[in-house]
Amino acid sequence: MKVLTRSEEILLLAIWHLGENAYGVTIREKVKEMADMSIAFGALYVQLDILVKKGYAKKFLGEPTPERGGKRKKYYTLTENGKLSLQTARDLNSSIWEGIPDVAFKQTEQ
Amino acid sequence: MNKPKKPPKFAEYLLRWILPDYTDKDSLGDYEEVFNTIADQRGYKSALLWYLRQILKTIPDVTHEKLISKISMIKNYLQIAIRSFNRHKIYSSINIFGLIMGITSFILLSLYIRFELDYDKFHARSENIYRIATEDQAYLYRNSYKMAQTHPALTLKLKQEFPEIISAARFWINDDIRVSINGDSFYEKDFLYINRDFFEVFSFDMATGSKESIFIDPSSIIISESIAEKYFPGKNPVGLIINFEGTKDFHITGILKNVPQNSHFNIDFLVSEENQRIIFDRDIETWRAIGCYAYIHLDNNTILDELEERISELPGKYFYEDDTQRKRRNISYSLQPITSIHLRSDLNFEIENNGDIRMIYIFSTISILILAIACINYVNLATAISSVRGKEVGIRKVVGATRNQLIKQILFETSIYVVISFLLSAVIAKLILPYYSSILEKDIMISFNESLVLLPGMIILIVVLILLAGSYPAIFISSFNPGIILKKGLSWNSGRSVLRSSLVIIQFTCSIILVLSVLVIGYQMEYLNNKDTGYIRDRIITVGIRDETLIDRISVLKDELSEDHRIVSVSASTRLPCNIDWQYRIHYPGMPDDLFMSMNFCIVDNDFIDLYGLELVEGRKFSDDHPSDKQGAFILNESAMKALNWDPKGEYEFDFYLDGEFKTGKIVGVLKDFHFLSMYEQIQPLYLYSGIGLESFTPRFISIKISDGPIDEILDLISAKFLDLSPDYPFEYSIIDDAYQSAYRTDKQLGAILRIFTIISVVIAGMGLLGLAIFTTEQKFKEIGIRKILGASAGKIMLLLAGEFTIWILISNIIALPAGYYLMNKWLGNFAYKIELNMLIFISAAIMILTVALVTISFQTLKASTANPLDTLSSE
Repeated sequence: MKVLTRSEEILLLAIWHLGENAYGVTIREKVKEMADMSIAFGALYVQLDILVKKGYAKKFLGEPTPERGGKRKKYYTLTENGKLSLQTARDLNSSIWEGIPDVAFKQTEQ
Repeated sequence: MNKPKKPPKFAEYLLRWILPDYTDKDSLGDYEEVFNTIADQRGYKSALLWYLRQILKTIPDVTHEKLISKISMIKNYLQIAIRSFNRHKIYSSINIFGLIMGITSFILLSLYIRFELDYDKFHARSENIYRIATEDQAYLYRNSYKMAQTHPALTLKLKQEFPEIISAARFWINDDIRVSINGDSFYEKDFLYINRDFFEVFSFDMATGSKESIFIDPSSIIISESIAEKYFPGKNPVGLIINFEGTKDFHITGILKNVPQNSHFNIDFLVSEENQRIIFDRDIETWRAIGCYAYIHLDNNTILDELEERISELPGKYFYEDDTQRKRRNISYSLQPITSIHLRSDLNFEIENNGDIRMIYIFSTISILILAIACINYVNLATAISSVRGKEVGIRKVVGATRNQLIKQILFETSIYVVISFLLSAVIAKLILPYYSSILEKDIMISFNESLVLLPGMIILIVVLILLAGSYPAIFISSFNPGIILKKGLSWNSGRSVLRSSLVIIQFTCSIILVLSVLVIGYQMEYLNNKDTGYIRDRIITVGIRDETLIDRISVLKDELSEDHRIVSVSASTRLPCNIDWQYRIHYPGMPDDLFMSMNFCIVDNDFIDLYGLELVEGRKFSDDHPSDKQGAFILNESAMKALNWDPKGEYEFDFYLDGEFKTGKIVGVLKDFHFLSMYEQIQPLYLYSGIGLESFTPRFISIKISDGPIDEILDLISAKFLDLSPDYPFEYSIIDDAYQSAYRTDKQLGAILRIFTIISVVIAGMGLLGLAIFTTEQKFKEIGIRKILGASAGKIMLLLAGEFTIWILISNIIALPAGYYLMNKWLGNFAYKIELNMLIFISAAIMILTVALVTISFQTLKASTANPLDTLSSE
């Protein structure tokens, strides 16, 4: 299995956090809140599309709402494959970070 | 929450267009939701700003991805285009070649048309500059007479009387003046005497020096860059001296940038108008003479008709002495936009020979016809080839290509052809341009920067060409039903050949009309060239006289020249028979005293009529045998007698107003009409006046008739005699036939250009026909083989193949000949003397085109009809 890229990881986590309410606007806000990154919608769609194509996420259509000018929400949710990849990413993270204390950073900061 | 707000439609479209294809309109909902949130919190404006910013932000993220998919698509299109080019090399080359010729012709013709239309537009205020033209009824007694010049007095009143006239420029102009620089004399022209407003109205720039200098000191002069370069190469001429006609010194105070070639008048020297008074003692505030050119700069909101009327009231206010004069003179003024002078004005006393708007119409029509012919080639060959490509299209459709995609692909292919042809044409046009400019004697060269201005025009041209050439083939080819095509194939004749044949018919109709026009125009020019002008132009040399002292010794000069046996006769006259454009007032007994009539005239000596072989229908020539001639004698031409309603045999008198007094003289003879102006014009009334015994006889020309023999030796002799008598003046001669021919030079140039482009159009149409011929014969190879096996002769088969084309061309003839007849009759209507349109011209045009077409296709049909049927049938 391929390793997730950082931005894929963040997006998938955002979707996971949002649960049933993950669509364009909320995903963008969540990413901003979690990682302090602001992405343009255009870039977001490109990335989300890649996630869907790679099989990490799938999308389904919601109901149209008036504040969206009668357009429907496009919801995203994780696939099993996506959840698995997140798990792998987490394991990978903890294994490569193992044994490195916070002190190490404090020293270099000086 | 308020009612939801919507972002503007255009922004929404823009965004939709930028976003990747896989996002649908629902994605826009995200944008709209945030838009609404911001609108609620911070107002509509900031929401809108945010929305627009999003559009910009989206571009870099998305285009990258989009580009990759586009590139792969284009790669595929290109591949197919190249393959189809390789498979159909002949047709594709014909297409490209035709397009290149068509576009190149179009570019060259448009550049010329643009040059002509741009005349005088370089003036910053060109939109608001008008020339005042004068119409004076008294000048012709019966007909009114319209002039490009006006009364000097009028221009002085304009600014005081009419606040809407912001500035009023006027100038006098001298051609043929003698300037001396460091003791060397030359004849120059375009010597202008200007007033202070001149630079207010016109936008001429100085290279060095100030414009004001010539008004501060009237003996200052501004010269043009080209004059500075000619006489003071590499030097700064400012401060140096130029002598005018041996009488007055001007010192140079400035250099004027060269006047653009598309100005209706040129400037080489500029002095203050005060010099008209100083040098010539001329009244520059008079109502009694015409002579200066006046141009006014008007306020934006001026109503022209009204102003014309009010200007025309000025003579009544300041000039007419009483009511009868008012009634008879009836002077009126009209305003001509400066930008229309070059192409639309043909008055008396124009500064230079103007162009002709009709030529512009002819050229525009040709340029469009040539392009149309080239596009039709493309349409015909592309649809013809499509029958071969039917399988490709069928497969594409089966695999899932939509009709839109097929249309896109074919349009893309067309645009490759068009763009490549366009680029090559631009290069070729650039290479041809210098020659083309020199044929037309116009500087239509275009710099790279200027061509950038034309960029939008070029893009429009390319798009129009793509649509013209590509849209029909695209719609046609994409409409194939894959099932039928793949099963049965698509045959050459499957429908649409009606359209193909009508397109070919249109092409040839255009070509025939063009050929016909060229023939008629050619014959008309030849007719004018060969038409008897009524005077001899053979072996006559003319020399202009500027030396006033020589004028007094004219008889000495004549005697000296006549001594040599190679000189047959010598005559002095004010004008030459090829251009008697001077007019002067005449009055005859019985005419109201304060009226006069203006008529072309020439003062001549006794040898003039014989030297030029002019014929008399009544009366006698001027002669020494009749002493009364010295008191004044006239010879009129037939047209003058007719205009006056006089009987040629009757006895009449004329009063000739000269040197401030009327001289009365008898009319001693009537001259047969001869063409003393352009052949285009009806012969006007003319009078010759006997110069013998006239104290103020100031001949401007000496005509010398020489016998056979080497012309150079005689010229040396004449030159020596002239320099002997008038050493300060350069000897310059011309041969009268050259002078005559030069009047028709523009027409010859335009005729040559017209011929070239007509040939090109016929070649393009012929190539298209060749392509079709090759195609049909290829399609019918088998049919021909079988026919031959069954016993058809080669001749029968040729007839079969050529028959269709012949019918097309015959139909084209039937359409083109009446149309051509109508057009050419209209064109000939502009001429006073013209050829009769006879059947022969039409038949020859028809035969010419038919021959070209048959010769073009005959190689192909001959090959097919003589081929061994065994080869053709076994070729699969």
